Amino acid sequence: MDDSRSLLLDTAGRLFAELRDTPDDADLAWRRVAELGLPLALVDEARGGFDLPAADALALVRLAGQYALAAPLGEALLANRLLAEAGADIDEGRPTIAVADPRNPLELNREENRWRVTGRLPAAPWAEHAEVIVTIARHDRQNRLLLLDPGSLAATPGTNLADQPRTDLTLDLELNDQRVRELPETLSPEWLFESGALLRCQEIAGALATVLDMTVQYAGERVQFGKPIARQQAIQQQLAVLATQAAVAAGAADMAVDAFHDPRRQSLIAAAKARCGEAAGQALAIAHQVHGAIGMTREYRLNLYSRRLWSWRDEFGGERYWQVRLGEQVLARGADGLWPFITELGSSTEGARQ
Amino acid sequence: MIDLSFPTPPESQQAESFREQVRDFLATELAGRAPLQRVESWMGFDAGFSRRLGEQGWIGLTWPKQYGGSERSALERYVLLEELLAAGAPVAAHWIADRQSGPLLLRYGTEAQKQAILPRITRGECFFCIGMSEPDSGSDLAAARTYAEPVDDGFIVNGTKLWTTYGHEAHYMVLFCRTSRDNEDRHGGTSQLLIDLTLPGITIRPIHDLSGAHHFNEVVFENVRVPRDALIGEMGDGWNQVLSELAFERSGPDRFLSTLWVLIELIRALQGRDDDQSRIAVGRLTAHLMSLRRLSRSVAGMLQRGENPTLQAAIVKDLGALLEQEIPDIARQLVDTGHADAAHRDFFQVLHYAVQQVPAFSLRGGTREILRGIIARGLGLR
Repeated sequence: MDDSRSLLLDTAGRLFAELRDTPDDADLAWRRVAELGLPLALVDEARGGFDLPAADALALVRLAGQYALAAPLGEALLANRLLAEAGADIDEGRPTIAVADPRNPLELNREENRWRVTGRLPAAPWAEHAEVIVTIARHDRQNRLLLLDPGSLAATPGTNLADQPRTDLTLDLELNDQRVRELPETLSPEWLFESGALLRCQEIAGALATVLDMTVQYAGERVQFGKPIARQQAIQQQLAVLATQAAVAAGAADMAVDAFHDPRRQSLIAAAKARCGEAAGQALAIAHQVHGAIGMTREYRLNLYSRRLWSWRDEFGGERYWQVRLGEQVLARGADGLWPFITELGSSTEGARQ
Repeated sequence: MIDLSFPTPPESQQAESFREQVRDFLATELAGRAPLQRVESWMGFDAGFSRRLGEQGWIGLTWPKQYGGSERSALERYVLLEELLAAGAPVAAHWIADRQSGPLLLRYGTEAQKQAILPRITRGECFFCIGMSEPDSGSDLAAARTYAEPVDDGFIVNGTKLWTTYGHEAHYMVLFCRTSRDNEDRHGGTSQLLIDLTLPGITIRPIHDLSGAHHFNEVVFENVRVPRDALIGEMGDGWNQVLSELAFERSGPDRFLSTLWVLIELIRALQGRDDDQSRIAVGRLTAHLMSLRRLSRSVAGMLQRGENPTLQAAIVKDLGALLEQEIPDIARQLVDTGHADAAHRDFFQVLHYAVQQVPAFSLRGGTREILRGIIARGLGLR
């Protein structure tokens, strides 16, 4: 880890730790995160951001997962990057992303000198709290960034299991050219969906690191039969399995992060999201088993992580979705293509760490 | 925060071009090798193949040239190993020597031992077996009772080693044994000896595994006179040495690719099917393989840098054995095993082979419970 990365993560980590006492105050968290300029971390220096490799900026998202940060930093990172890529103003306040189901993309059409967009953006994160919502649509083989004003949209508010705002948006809008901007060829609607999955991988990896820590600590403090339950071999074995799941989730998330700029990112992120989701399920089952009844209470902090993890597992494609995507690629290459497929994906082109 | 970090695996263009060279060699060498042979993975034995691999300079790939090695990087070695395993090459003859006995000698052996043994290993002419387990010493390795009594000109060895894979084909054994009668000092009284298996007093008896195959052996030592210069490393330092030997044993791609050929033949059997159940199962297993390979390559990078990845290696091996054991179970959910369709003969052959082997995958090289104990220690629990 080089100095600028560790300085950034140290600073962010101190802030996130400080915010731990107010896990429901998203506005406060947002203000403090914005004061440090963190939402710009994925924007190039030339466009008003930092001079950071993508992997370092995305490390902030893992850290946010680790501390259960109340504000949607990951969504803002992506939104700001897209605004910058489209040459739009990135000072519009709190931005977020919204993504159409890849099987049901938005329709974008040109009508006279205006744009018309129709379609659905399900479970848009923090849509009603944002000043601008960005999404990507394609028109005539050109990717375009749509800048949506939350006030102008038909919205059905809701939350995920962790009480994080998730709003279903229905679009039937006219937009002017200022709000429909060209994007480079690589930044497709699929790119945004994959990047959302990548955020969730990072958050899952971060949250699982904390779940492991909390569970190990709890087992060391909880005394039954005259000794801490961590001294029981049955508990030790379970905690070891929890550690393996936390470790493999982190490794899978690393794989997704390294694929950020990679043209083959879809397969790598598919594998990572499928694996992270499974790890979250297995790890949480053990964490709750070891915690016993206290872990089932709203008061005890574990639920802050378990409810997020159960939600993140599903968002931007659950295991089934990504397994199908990856499985169809492998099956299409046939039996003798399996191993070359795995090794080609394992050797990077331009890593996110450069 | 508990540190379970797996650093980014190092990249090497050189290693990737080496991969192509290995693939070309194997394509010729293994043409016509049946899936049922390929699924034997690193239990497939072919001394001729090992010799030809040696001629390529591909045994002891990272070792110094003065001992017959090729002085190539650990990453290139990782590529070589995974390509051999993925192709189902018969590597058993030289596998133990290349993986652990040779590295142990390089680290602790005398100059004479290195000169006498290592070049022969690299030529694929000298095979090793492991002398750790005993009838009353499995997971509890320190309970080994085989005793090498120090005498003037060396040792007199008595005892029995068990589960000695390919002991009947090996030239040498690295014997973990007691060299002190002080049974209170479980660790300090142990040493490692380089045993020439042709010495008088050694009897090697086959133990057939449940499938009827002969890999295992019982190796009995009865008053075997071993010269003094057979001692590896320091007298009484056997425990520390054997632990470092185990680190070599636990970290490689052989710990998660053992049933790759079941997955390969499953994919072949699923060709033409158009259902999400197949996609989900194949996608899931591929995701597991990709994630584990990433962790395993990370461990290879740590070894290359001289770090001690005991905890990380245990994590890879525990997850790897689960995956290797799960593949046949998933496969039988997709293909009707109650009706052995002749069109999928290869699939059923590899499946039935694997079913009889997989229980061993969470035993060999450290049981699941022992590995989880190591991980628990890494978590500060013991």
